[in-house]
Amino acid sequence: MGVLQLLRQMHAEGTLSSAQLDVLSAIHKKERFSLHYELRGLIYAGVLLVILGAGLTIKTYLSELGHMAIISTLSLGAAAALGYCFYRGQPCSRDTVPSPNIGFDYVLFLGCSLYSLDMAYIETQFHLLGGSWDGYLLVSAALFFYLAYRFDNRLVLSLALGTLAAWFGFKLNWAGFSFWDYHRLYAIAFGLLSLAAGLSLWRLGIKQHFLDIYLNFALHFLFIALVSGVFAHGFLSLYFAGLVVLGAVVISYALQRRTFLYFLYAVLYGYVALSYLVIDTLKPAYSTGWIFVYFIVSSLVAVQLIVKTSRRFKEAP
Amino acid sequence: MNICLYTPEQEENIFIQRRARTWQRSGLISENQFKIIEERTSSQLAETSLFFRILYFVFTWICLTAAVGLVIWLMDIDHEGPIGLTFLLFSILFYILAEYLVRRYHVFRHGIEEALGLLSLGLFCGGIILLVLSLPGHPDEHLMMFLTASLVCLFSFWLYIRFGFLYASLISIVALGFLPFQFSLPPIWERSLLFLLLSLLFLISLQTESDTLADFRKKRKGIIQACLFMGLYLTVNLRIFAVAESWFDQTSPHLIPYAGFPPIFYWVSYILTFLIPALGLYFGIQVRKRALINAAGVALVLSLATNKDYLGLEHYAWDPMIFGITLILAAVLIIRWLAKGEDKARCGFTVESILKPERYGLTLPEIGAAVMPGVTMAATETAPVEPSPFEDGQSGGGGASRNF
Repeated sequence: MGVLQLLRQMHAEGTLSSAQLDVLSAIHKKERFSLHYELRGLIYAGVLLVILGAGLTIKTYLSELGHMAIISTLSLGAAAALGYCFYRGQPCSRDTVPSPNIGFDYVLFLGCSLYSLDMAYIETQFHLLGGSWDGYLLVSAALFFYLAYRFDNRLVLSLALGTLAAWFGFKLNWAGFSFWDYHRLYAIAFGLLSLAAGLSLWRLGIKQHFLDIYLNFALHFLFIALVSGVFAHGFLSLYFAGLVVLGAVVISYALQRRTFLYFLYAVLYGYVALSYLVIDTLKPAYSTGWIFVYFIVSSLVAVQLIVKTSRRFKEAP
Repeated sequence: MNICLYTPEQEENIFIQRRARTWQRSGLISENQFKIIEERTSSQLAETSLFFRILYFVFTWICLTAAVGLVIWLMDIDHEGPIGLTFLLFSILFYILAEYLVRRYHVFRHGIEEALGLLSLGLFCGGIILLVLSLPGHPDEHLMMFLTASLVCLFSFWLYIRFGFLYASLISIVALGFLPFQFSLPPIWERSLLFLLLSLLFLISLQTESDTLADFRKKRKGIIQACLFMGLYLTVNLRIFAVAESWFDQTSPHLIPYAGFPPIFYWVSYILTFLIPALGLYFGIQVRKRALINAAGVALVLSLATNKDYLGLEHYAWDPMIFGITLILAAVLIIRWLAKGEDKARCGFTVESILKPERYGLTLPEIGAAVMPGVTMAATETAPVEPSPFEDGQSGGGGASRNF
């Protein structure tokens, strides 16, 4: 039975209205074809290229352009974009607020990005805040949080959390990645703060649909910090205890709320840490064969447990 | 003849259920209506969610690779021949297990049978290669590559038609793309051969399509055609790989004149880099194939991005900015044009969001936004400007104005 046949059958039986039949048939036959996400993608790619181009132009033509030209252009760009958002934006609400148009979210994002670029440029050139230069990041993060909530924008909320993470000391550095103890502590602090903020706002009923973004940030930071702590300090450490507690809480939350993405995070991070500990223990005393045996047995146990969980919760695809 | 382990009815029912779930998510049908559809389209197959599928896949993969490792370790073999033979035996075993799971437990995209199938593909190809390597004499590098690509291409195509794994068909296309480069032909022939091969497959795929084809098959064909189309585009764009390489290495692209091809071939390829996306877009819009429209759109953007490299023009730092503004303007023009049509649509095309996609935590744009602060910081990490010796009359000559 094809889609159209089924729809017609349901309509004949009276379980599908004529209006629904018309709409669904038109969608299925592609008589109504939405280009919504394609056009959003095009705008987003355009915004990213504009930001990239602005950054590269500043970097390359710094001496020719001069400080005033760069700062005033970036400031005007950011002000124009944010001004447009305040002019066209819907009133603030605790719930979901639909964007006034398809490009609105990206204009706000562009404004925030140009503002960041402007602030970063001012600080790197003039060192106004000296040693406490990272105060800019905190101020920017606060502004982005406000804008994200004011205009109900998930992109800007991600930007705000990314900026806050940068204030905590986490930046993109492809040259080499090291995770020292203080990184771990900062990552845990950031994770807990994000978690607390997300859960508090959710409980207060303010933009409850943002919770997923907070949880994603918080859980990755917490898990990575704890797993790296287990790598560094082994079984007899608070990191391991923390990982066990966090894993248990996350699994229980994921199963209760049927959000299996978090279940996936907890299982994978937990397995990585546990495997590291077991291999670390087995390696000096036992042969390589035991390590293979560990992986066979542990993965079979994991599959068995997942099958049981899956059946118990009758999770749908 | 149906080679697939699942019947077309089962796959069509799963397709309808997924479609119905999207309609329900988008508020087009009620919960009750969804349940009615679900009852009527029972596939009798065991499905699982994406996250459980990933977990099953990961743990099955770990278990199987460890099992192979353990056997090789226990047998204490370190020669290519015996290892190759072991790989082959395991490959057969894993493949039989994958088929058994589907037949006995009726699993559908469960992760376990996928891991078994893919590992059997890897072990089969690896096993044959190791066996060939163990033969006396050193086989030619191109011959080895040809053998590997052919095996991967054939085995993954078999996995596609037998199990319906769409990604296996994509692996098959990629492997096919390596074949023409293994005959030590002149570059111009290599490209032409690949172009002909992919065009032939694309045309066959179009020819075998009809209105009576099941919906799930139409969708699959659409995706495969889009991949073949991208393959065709990448074959004709002679600059894209050099530009991509320089982008990732953070160096200026080192461009050989005419990319090492005869000028006539080079300029024909330049025309094709615009003609192919334009044709793809036109055809995609005509027959309303989303995957093809998206692929053609990406190809067109790539053509614009490599245009200067093709023409040998100088790059400027503001190029991405101009390009970005062009993309935004193009999007705005399309949006406005569509919105001004009757019922906010033209020829059925609309900007309105009709079907809501499923959300899995963070989306790709949100991840991009999250890493933006790090990127911005890197972009502005430049040394402070040193004062010009001609400023403020320091040069001793000018000095009439602040800036010389």
